[in-house]
Amino acid sequence: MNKNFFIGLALGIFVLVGGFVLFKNYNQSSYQVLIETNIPNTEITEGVSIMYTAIGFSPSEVTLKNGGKITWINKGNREIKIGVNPHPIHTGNREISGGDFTLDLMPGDQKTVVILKTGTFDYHDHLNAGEGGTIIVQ
Amino acid sequence: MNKIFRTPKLQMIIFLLLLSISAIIHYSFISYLQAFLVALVSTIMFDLAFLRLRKVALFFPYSAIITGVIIGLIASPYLSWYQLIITAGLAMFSKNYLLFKNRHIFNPAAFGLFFSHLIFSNTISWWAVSWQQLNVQNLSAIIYILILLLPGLVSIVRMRRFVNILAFYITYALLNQTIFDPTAIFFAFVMLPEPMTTPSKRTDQFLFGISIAVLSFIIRFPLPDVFTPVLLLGNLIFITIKVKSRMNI
Repeated sequence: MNKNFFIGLALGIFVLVGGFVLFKNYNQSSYQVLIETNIPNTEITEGVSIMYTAIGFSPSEVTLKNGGKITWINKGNREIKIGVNPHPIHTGNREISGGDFTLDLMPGDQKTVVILKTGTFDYHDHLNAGEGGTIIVQ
Repeated sequence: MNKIFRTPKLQMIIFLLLLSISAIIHYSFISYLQAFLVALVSTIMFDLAFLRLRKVALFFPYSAIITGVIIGLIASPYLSWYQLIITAGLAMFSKNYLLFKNRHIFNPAAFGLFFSHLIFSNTISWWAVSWQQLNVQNLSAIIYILILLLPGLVSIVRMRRFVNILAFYITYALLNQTIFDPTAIFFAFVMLPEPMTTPSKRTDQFLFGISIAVLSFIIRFPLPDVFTPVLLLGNLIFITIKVKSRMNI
């Protein structure tokens, strides 16, 4: 154990703590808005719109009839790539992403897909997989 | 000059850069390049700074470049610049300070990405190594897959880690009932066989590869990303066994 080890350790701890504090301050307000807006839509419908904004997908959970349509709308300020779980291989029901590996939406874009398979399918933004939601098809 | 290009690390760097270029072309989105470069440059800078602090003679940072490219290829391209810099710093901290017999214990890229995930709650996107699709009727798809497979030449032929890689991929494919998984291929060719943190004896390579595949199958459900924590766990088990049995590396 020499002096350099402790300098390195101190740097490491500084980076960890600094990053944590920065992140806490940065995201606190976003979390509050998320809690208020990401309310699941439990009503069974034939068609539903799922909107992406800076705070994620809304509604976070939707319930559809078999053969129902989902319209994906990107109202955020960056490109999103919607993929069905599991991440990152997207081997679940790819009807969610129009049959492709990902359904790509630039800001302002919208696309509609039809879901024929029944079940519960989770999805996410492939570029930021922490953001996602659930689609239940009955 | 010719001799330099024959070193496995430089060959790996060249193949990874080819992979990066193919992904950036595929996504047609230049902003990904910014995140990639922030990860790469900050990893190199941290490595040089830590080497200086440790009073180790500076050398060309091949390993740091490989780690930086890996982080650039699989971290979310939408991480903010400071998150990428901290990820790079954590990776190089583990490479320079978490050592056993002067060799690092953990795969640096996996360490940086996993602890960055714990701090920032971000998930690893694997953006550059997950979009390749098996389509034999499409020439560009075949070329992209060949580029994805290139690092395997280094790890299988030059580094002789084929037992480790095969044991992992076959077990993984059987457990997950999949033949072609680009993410698992990248993980198997580039991250799994890192020579400093994994066994070199064939029997140990075999056991290591199978263990990582089985662990990734068992604990995949509670985790948003499975490969990085499982690899770190494997590194830890490997070093623990090595310490206990006082094996030579």
